[in-house]
Amino acid sequence: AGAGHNSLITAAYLAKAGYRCLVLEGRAVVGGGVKTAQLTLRGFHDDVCSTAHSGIQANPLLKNDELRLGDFGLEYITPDPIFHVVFGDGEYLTQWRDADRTVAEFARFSKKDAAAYRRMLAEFDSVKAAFGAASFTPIGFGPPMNDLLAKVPRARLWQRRLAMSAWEIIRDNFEDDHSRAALLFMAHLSSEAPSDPVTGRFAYGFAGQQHGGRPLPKGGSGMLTQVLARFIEAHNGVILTNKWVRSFIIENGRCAGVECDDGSSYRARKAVVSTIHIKHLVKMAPAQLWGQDFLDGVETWQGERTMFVSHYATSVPPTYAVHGGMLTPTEAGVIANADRALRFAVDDTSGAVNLDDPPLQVICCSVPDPSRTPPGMHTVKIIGFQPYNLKEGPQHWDEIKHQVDQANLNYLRRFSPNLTDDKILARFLTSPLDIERMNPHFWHGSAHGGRTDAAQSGPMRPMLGWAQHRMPIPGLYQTGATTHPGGSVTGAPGRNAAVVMLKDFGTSIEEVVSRKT
Amino acid sequence: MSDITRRGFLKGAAVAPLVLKPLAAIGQQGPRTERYDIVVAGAGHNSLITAAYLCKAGYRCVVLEGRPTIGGGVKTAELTLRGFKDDVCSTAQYFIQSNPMLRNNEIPLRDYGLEYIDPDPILHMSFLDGSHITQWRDVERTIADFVKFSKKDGAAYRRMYEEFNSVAPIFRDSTFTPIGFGPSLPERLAAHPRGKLWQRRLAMAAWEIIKANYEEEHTRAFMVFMAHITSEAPDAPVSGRVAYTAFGQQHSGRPMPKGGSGKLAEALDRYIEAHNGVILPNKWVERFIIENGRCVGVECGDGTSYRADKAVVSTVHIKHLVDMAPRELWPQDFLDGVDTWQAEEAMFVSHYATTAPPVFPLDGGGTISPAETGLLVSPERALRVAFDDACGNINTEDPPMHCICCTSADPSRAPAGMHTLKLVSWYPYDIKQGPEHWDEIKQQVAEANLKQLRRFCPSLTPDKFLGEFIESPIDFERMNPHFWHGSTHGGAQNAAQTGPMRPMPGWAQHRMPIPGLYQTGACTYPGGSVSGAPGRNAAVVMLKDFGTTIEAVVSKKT
Repeated sequence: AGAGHNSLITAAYLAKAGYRCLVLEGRAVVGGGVKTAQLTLRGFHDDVCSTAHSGIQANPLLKNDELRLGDFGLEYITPDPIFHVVFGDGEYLTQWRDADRTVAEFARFSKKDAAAYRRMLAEFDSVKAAFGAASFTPIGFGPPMNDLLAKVPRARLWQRRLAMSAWEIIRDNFEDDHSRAALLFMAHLSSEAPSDPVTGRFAYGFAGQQHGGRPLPKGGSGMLTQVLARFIEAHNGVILTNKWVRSFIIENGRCAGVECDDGSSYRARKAVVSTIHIKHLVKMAPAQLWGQDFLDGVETWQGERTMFVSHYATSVPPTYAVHGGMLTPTEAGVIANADRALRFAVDDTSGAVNLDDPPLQVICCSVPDPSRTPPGMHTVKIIGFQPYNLKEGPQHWDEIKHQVDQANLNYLRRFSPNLTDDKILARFLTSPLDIERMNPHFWHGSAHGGRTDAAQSGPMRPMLGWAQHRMPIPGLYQTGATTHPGGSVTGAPGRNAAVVMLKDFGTSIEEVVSRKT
Repeated sequence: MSDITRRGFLKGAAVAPLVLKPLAAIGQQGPRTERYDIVVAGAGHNSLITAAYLCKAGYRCVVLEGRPTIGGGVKTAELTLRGFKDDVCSTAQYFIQSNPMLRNNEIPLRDYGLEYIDPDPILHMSFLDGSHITQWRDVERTIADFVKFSKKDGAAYRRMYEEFNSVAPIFRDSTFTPIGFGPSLPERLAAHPRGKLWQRRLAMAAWEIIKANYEEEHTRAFMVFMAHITSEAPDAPVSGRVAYTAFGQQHSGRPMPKGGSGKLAEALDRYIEAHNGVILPNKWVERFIIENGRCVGVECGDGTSYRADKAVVSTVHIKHLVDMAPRELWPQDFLDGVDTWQAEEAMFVSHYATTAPPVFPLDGGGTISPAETGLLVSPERALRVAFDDACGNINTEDPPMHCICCTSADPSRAPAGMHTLKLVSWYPYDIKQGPEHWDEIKQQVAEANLKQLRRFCPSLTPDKFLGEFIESPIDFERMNPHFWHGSTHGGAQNAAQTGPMRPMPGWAQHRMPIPGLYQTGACTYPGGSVSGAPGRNAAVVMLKDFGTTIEAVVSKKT
């Protein structure tokens, strides 16, 4: 039930294992948060939600090429520079694929910070494997994070770091406000507040992408789900769109299939896999079947800090002044200073829309991938960070979204003045409320399914006792962003769910991927 | 007022003038080296409790205190004018009520002069719109004040109080058990019918819990203020437990020792001396004596040294502890833990001698003059403190404040008809201009706080003020090096620095990397505030290492 990138990955592994899979998608197009569509004008291919596919590169699906998606048309472009951060005072810091060149950027602000960044790269390399193992192993199918860390140098220091706030780590290691702001901005892209405890890992977000960059699928983020659909169909699977799953068919307390809004129903011999948001999932079967623990977990589930996204069709890419010229990066971040990045939490918590010097992520995929637009044209995606729960209530977003979009654009123009009105051919705005309307899985605007904080990570995702993808109703499995390790394009919840199901079916994912089919 | 200020400042430098020890004891010079079973470095309430249990066990203890007065953060002194007894740091002592030391009277401190006053109301909150919420010892009366704002919120308060009471014994048992000496908190919660829900709650932000359970601004403000006075940010993940602070104190009230917070330390002092222990003030412990890699004693600033046949107990802040023995004796993971240790949101405290108590008008007529009052204009304002702290901003716009007038409940603390007023607020130690800048601005900040207080309490006009003593975050640190960076609770008590992570992973059992050295105080589990738990827990560990148990010791009839 549902065709996001995770459930499609689960289906792909099950199809490869020889099970006959049916994927039901409520909307007209598969992909969920991994979708590309012409939102502004014909010929302009915009990423509806996700763009960069950094996390999934470490997924055995791609790392070990387990499903050979390349043969089905998946191709990645890795832009250089990786990311360009501009600051309120007009200064900037560019992250290049070349680590030494990036270190030199930090050195422009502080020798100490350059050394700190180099140190951070080495520190991150020492735990990368442990982080990867934790993400790409279902809960309880391998050692917990602390046991994994026990094997890395400075294990106890890493335990402390992970429980600290990203800000504490950044502040204690970097002295210059520009370096601090750049790292805070990257931490902030996690949708968690860098000043919150247990965000320490996000202090390494910048270092974490130094090695692999921020790859984009050629043709758009949605190419990943298009390719997965092809793989499934090539393996005897069926994908049906415009099929809203309304409820589960329960027989003798077991989930035996689903019913759709159009009255059709589909029965499963082995199992039903859901990627429906848990807030809606519990409404699809009688309450008494879920158990109190599960309902408690759903009730206490928290939405994440949300995004406000503007998609533009333009005749120029955003261009930024740098020493001795101009730079036209694929991805840029605008952050006035470190303090501004720290305000995120307080504005979100109090439901305030703060438009002075709004932090922005600006993405122009057509720079490295001209195939996304008509010749010479560009797609520009401007991501702001604003709360879903406004003081006036979420509905108020409909009144203010144009004004918020304009404020974001006006601020961006201070750094990219070439983006004048005559260069903007069309706009498509998605407020946090629109994001929820677009896809009920984006509950309260949560594009990552909900907060990924201490209360909703690891064995607590979606809730304690139910983190292994097996739902309280026998025969029902759950994947997607509300399951471990959470949202963003990693495919980990999808592959992990397949690992659990294949084990329950008496085989193993290793056995399945080793098959020559 | 300016000369009073200068005086106050001098006192700040001289540190808490009230000397409890007879001067003879201070001048006392024994042999340059004395031998004891146990040498205790620092005399805070925790290390005194450890010493008290060890004395009861029959070990000969010496407690060395660097300042003229013992007590650390549990100290009462005449800070403003003679005859006005101010609590230098802590005031309410409600956590310690559930410490077996008092609860089971393991150490009969009442026989040594400790007496508690239990103010009713527990805590009052006035709001700028003239409305108020008062927390009374009688829960029904408290609920009635919530119902004024929302029936739903009144019901929520009752529900959460019952929920809290169902887990309180679990929290208590884990608080008063050293790490690894009993089941972990998750293991204990597994036995609770809603244990999984409680684990989620503990990992959530207090604000998330409060917002979900209360609908009305005033009731939310009350709950957020209660969470906030723990010095943790109510919107930080893993602060869920402090959403229930109000219920802990609804249950035990906020008792204060008659005569002042410091009476607890004095009673412990008497108990220790009655059990063959020695307490020496003005003994700055400068370094540990190490022989064959073992800690066998301490050297003091005055050149004297004290040797311990059994063990040395330290309550020295870990940031300073590592300077008291050669670097190579502390393993890398311990040094990493010290290096990454974070300070807490610091307090800014003004003490005043006044001719009147704070009197708050009540909507619907009448006034109230409680021992403790919370002043918070909105929940959002409390949620801003963490941001200002992270940025190093001094935000004097509607500062949240905790207004304490002990003399309303305990007239013995001031001359007849007079009062002590303690105004607690929260500002960062690490301000943008650097902590030293506090000396320039503290007077200004104190004035801003007073101005805010008078919006709630107009009757407290300047002519009612006789004297003042102001403690900025940096003054706290100067007053007591354990208040590192203004951390009166030893440091942040967040996910990174609690449970088995306090003070750092691998070293949470009070046993330090140097054999023969034990650590207690706010840097150790379960952390700061007047609980006595780190003190008793350290005693539990040491007594076990000495081949006995705390149960065996307390059952002794001595």
